[in-house]
Amino acid sequence: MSGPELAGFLLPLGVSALRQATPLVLAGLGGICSERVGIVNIALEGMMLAGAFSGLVAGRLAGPLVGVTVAVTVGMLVGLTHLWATRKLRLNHIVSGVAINLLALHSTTFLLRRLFNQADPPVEARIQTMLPTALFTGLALALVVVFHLLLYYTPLGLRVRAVGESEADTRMAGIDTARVKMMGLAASGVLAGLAGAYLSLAQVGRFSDDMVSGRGFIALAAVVCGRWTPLGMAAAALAFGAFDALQFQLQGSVALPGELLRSIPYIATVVAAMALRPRPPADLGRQEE
Amino acid sequence: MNPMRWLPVAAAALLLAGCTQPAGNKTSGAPGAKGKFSAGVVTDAGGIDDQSFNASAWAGLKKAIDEGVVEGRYIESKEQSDYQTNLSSLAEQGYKLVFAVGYLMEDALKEVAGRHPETKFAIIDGSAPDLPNCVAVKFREEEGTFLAGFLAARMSKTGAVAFVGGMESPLMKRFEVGFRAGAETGKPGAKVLVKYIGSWVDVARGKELALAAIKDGADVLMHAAGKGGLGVLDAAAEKGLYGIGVDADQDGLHEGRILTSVMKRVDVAVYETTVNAAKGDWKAGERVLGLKENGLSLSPMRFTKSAVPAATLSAIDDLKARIAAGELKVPSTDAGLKGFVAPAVK
Repeated sequence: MSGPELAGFLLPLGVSALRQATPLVLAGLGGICSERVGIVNIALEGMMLAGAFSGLVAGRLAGPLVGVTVAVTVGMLVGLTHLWATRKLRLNHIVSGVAINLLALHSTTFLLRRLFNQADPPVEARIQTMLPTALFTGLALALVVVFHLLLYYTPLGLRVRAVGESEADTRMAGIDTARVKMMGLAASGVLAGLAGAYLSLAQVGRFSDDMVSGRGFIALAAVVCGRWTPLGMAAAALAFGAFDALQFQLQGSVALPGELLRSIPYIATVVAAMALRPRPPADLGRQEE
Repeated sequence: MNPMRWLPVAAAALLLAGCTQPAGNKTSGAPGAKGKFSAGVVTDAGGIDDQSFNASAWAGLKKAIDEGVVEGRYIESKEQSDYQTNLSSLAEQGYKLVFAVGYLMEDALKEVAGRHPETKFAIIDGSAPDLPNCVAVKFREEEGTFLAGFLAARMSKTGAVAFVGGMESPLMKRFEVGFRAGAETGKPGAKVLVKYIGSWVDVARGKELALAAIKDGADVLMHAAGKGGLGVLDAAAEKGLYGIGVDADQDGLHEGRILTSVMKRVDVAVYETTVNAAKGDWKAGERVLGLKENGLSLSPMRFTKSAVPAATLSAIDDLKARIAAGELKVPSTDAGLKGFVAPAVK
């Protein structure tokens, strides 16, 4: 392949990879915010779905920017619900996460029908003026740097990391750990809601049920592969996005089964989990006594 | 006890109450009370408003109900584990004919059909157990997508068209191979890009795949990917190209930018099976519907017909007639496609 030809192949591939990676990076940051303060967060999927739906509904009524605002607000509320369920109700973190995911899936499906598909006359759950995907991509990459600095170079970051390692010890040191956790889960919801808004308001321009399709879990896999660090997570998410874009392009032209190409992120996660021996925050998932 | 603890329980209960209202047509009392034939539809997890398969099955039964031939209702399944419960529940309520929509219900039907010999069961798109009370209704999808592929190739300016499927399976292969054979017939040597999303719901991936195909030159894109395929139609419309819909008449989703839709007439199949069964006309075994039986058709092209050259339209009618008459056999597998010789077209 000649130079210009190679560029002609790689450039669109890179753009497509960024489009696929953006929601993973945003939701992955959300995963870090939650897990670094000790709360296991498999509810990212549900938070994204809630954000995608509420964002689209609000976006149709009052424009896409209002849509984004509503999506992050709803995401934050779901994030705080997860905190409430795990801390106040002492629900197992996984159980609460599953419950939130199911609740988000079924309630958005139900509302989608009532407000759109089975309305009289039926309305398409679509938005005409979409936001540019580059806006979200730029924001996501900037936020990775911001969260890296925040986590490792500020007193707040130190507190967050301390809470994740040992909440009891941190409290002994006189730090309001409940407040730190609340901030972590609120941020987690905001970021996952933003990831959902990206899907419905920028990348696709419509809502359809279960449109998040496992991206919340892939984002969590990126968190694990990236050892709970913003930079590592972003690298993993970008790699997943690149694999995705590559398989989109290669399908049909290279004699590789699509199933194999699509399973690359999952295989990478298993390999990373074995090879990198990632160590989660020590207090992750611990139920307060 | 903190009363707040019960809040999530109450919320869950409310949500369940909202979601699981099963009855469609609210016929009160036992079915067949006035001696009328009764039939029911069990949807798969796609739900009654999937704008495709399940909606179409219910539309067929609804027509028979509206004409006063039968009475009936539908039950929605939320997940696979509901299939068996829903099928037996309709049988136990005394419905004479029960439709299982989708091949995912094959196993459930195997369990239920033997236990209810007095109830007739029809499965759409799947295989039925070998019992006198069971019939399997299948389609020759390749005949419908053949016409779409022909039209796509004729309307393409670049000489490249695309097919985006949901998940690979022998059933999807029939859609794909028919489309490829049709494109070859429409424009010998036409390039057909074939991509699969790997999901029936991932609209974002559907759109990305379509954009990848568009980048490689495709300018007419057919999807057969359920809700994920909406992303394909969106991408084609956004780029000012043509999309082709599937299952139901999807032409209205982007007026003028969806060339046509390959309609799988599940409604026709359900309606005819119901009316025949009500008359006492029941043949167990397998029924396969194609263009000849009106099991498949292209949409009426409400918004695009004027953009298609008259010669192309008449060529499609000609091909349709030849397929219906059995003169032209459309391949349905890769092996069949290898030996396929594109027929001469007027």
